[in-house]
Amino acid sequence: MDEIGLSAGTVALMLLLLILPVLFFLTSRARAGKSGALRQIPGLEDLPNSVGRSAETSQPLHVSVGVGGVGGLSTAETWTGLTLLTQLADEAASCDTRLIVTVADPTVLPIAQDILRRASIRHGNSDGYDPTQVRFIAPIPMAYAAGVSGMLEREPLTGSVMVGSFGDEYLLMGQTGARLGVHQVVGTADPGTLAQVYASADDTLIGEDIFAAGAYSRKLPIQIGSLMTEDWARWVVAAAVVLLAIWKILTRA
Amino acid sequence: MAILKRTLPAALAIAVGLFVLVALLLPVPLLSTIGTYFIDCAVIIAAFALFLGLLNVVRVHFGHIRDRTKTWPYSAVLLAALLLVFVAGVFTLTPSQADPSQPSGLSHPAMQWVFTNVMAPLQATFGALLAFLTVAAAYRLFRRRSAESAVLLVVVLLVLAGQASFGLLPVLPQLRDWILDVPALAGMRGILLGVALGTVLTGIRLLLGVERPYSD
Repeated sequence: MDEIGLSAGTVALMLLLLILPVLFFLTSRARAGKSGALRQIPGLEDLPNSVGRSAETSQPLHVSVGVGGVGGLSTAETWTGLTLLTQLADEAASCDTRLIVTVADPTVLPIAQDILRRASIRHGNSDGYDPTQVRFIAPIPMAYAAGVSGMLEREPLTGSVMVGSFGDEYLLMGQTGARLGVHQVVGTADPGTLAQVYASADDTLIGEDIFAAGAYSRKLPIQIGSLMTEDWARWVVAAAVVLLAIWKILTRA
Repeated sequence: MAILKRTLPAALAIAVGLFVLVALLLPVPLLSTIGTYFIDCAVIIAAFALFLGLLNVVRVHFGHIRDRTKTWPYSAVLLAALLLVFVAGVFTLTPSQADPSQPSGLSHPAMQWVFTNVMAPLQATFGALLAFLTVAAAYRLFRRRSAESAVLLVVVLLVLAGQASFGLLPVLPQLRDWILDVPALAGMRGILLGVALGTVLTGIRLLLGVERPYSD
């Protein structure tokens, strides 16, 4: 950014000021019902079935929000995992199904416990909440993956939903789940890990798909508007990349 | 009560979040100082969360032992190890009065022994397993017999051949480099672009207080 005489902070501020009006405009369109249909993301649409399978078999569903925490670089990914957990907790509470949530970062522990507690209260079953449903495994990614793999091996689980920040350690959990026939829905933003996820999971949420979770579950106008803003911004950035490439070729010639 | 339980915490979170964002974006020293103070406060609160994590581990595994689940012996070993390291950590926390120059805390030889002889080998072992798990994952993928799996198989074989061509076919390393530098990199950048936009918009929704999984 120094090449064009702007600091990273200034560019970020400019981007923010450009995105905000678009977000508000598209949110108002979504509120007026002019947003159109959301494209299909099989992994997100299959989530209610994961809870359904769990209810049918009376076996718990495993949920992981990744190895990241709240407050670090992976906050956004962890937050999408927590948003999905809210949806799953509501569905599980409505059909009296048990979730087992594993966390690797202690900052996520009280939030995840609170999500399950509130879901139980919302569905009039406050006695159904058990704080040990949320388990802090280990803060080191490899130790966390080993702990979750052990849990998948030993405890009868119908499915595993893992959405958040994962690295290479994912394979340890993913392959264990695949070997045991546990239905796995996995999403992460790291392109390196996505290849491993694609190879071992039943449904994969690729990169930005995980950020669409809220719009698919709660369908609030601002979430749908945010999704549309993301689509528009992607087209703008792609067009800018193509135009800059053409400009560079022409000026070099 | 609803104001105290819901509105006030949410308003505080949004206000502090917006303040820290503005402090990061605008180069004003006073804003920066206050923003750093808020971040330091968050770090201290996060440190307390580690204590909650410790209590959670004890509670979960104590429950396994009490209920005599199938895995209770593992839980007993885990709690014993936890207690041992915790006690060792407490006793080695402060420098020895006889010789204050001796290392203390995590640098103490007892703690270092635990990390060098228990933690590091275990992590290295699990790390080494990943190579075999990658092969198993690839095998599982190829058994799906889909078009995507076939493309992946061809690309993997070409990259592997380029990596280990032993100079027999010079075109293979060139092909490997082209695959990695053009289609693979383009795909990766496309994913990262979407992730970056998704992160920005998730941040905006959080700061606007729209997405709050921690409250009704």
